[in-house]
Amino acid sequence: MLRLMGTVCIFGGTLGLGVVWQKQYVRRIEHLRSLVLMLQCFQGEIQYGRGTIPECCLAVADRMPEPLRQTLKETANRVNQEGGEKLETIFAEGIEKLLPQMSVKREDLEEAFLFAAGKSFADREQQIAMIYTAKQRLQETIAVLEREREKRCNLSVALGTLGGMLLLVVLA
Amino acid sequence: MQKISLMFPGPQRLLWKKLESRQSELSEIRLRVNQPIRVVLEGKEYYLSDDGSVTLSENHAMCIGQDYIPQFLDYVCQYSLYAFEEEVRRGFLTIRGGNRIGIAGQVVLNEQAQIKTIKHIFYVNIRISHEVLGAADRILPYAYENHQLKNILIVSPPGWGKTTVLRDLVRQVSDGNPYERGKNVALIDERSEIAGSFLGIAENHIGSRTDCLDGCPKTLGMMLMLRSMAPQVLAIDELGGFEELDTLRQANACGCKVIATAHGSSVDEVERRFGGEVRKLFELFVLPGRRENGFSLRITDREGVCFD
Repeated sequence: MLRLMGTVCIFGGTLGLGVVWQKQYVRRIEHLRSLVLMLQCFQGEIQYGRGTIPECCLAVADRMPEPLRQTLKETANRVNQEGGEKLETIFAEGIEKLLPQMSVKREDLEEAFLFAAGKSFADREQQIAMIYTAKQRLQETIAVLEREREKRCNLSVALGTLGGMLLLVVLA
Repeated sequence: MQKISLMFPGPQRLLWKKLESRQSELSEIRLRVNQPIRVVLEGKEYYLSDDGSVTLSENHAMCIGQDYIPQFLDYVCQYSLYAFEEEVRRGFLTIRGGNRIGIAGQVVLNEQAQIKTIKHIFYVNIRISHEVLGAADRILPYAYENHQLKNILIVSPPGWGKTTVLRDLVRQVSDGNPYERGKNVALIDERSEIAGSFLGIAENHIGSRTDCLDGCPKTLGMMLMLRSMAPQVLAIDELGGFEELDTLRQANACGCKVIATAHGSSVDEVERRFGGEVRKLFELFVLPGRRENGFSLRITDREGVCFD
């Protein structure tokens, strides 16, 4: 009886791990889509509202899901409170806070916020072009992930299952 | 009023802390690359020393390096220089609190030989905005006739307090005063200096019945406000051309009273600039001036008769 319960636990655990990997993969795609949407909103705010980056952060935040909403609001508020910090520093801290809460990689977030965290351009078109480029790159990443989605998801579950079976064989 | 040190990025703030105690006397800060920092306190020029105190000796003055002004500009533009493209082209930008920053550097022209942008900005003039509640108190007894506000023009050279007087006059006309109840005022604040708006909200006192159109060219703004907000009084800063005067006349013909300011040392000078049309429209002229112990106001009618 004890042996059977152990078998179920080990097998269930490794299979669960495979399913978690699968979910993380799907969530990364969803979060990347949120980042693309965020960039799209920034582009609109700069193009039509000629807003500064903190102003755009406030305007865009309300249309974003958590945790992006909170981070954008915090960024805008910190600039508006005139603490004297560099925007680059505030965004870097924002990325650090977002990383554990999102299923994206550091480079995805750095790519998404590069237009705001770096030195701003003197002309609006160049600033928008920068956002457009970041958006394109994220969309390319999404396309690659989507292409491999089925394969990767199946692989995660299969690896979990096989890993569990292997452990059972070794332990038996 | 916004503290001066808050206008500067973190690492530069310490230098400006000491000056905050004399902020009410401060009217101008001049930053030039590789040159000492100059400040104007009560109309007199001083240097700023390394420890933040003011001095008359150039030997003790603090010189700024090449990074100082770009860092300052990045900060005041909220790291979004692109959002101030038009302002940079015009040579000045207005920041929070209505403080105006004049800039100079290397001009880039477009194909039509017009200014496209200014790069390598290494010369900055910060004009500190002062809100003086009560600055227009002395005008009010003469500003009404049969409970009707007169059309008022405030005339003075730059930096003599035109905008300060206008701001307080707008506030008192809008809120109401001992001579008349409050009126709906439309304020066209092209350079964001009067209301000192931040994210669309006025940071200075402009009155509870004032609608402010921020950052809009005056002629366009006046027509827009006339059509949309049904103002009883229209106020603008720095009347600059015939087109603006024409629009003010149109507004006045529609029953709207007008308050404006104009650069000039006398009413005659402004009258000459506008081809004799100014005295036909405006009924009261206010001339802010300077005396040893502060500011003065001269108030005259069309004929130049002084009221006080």
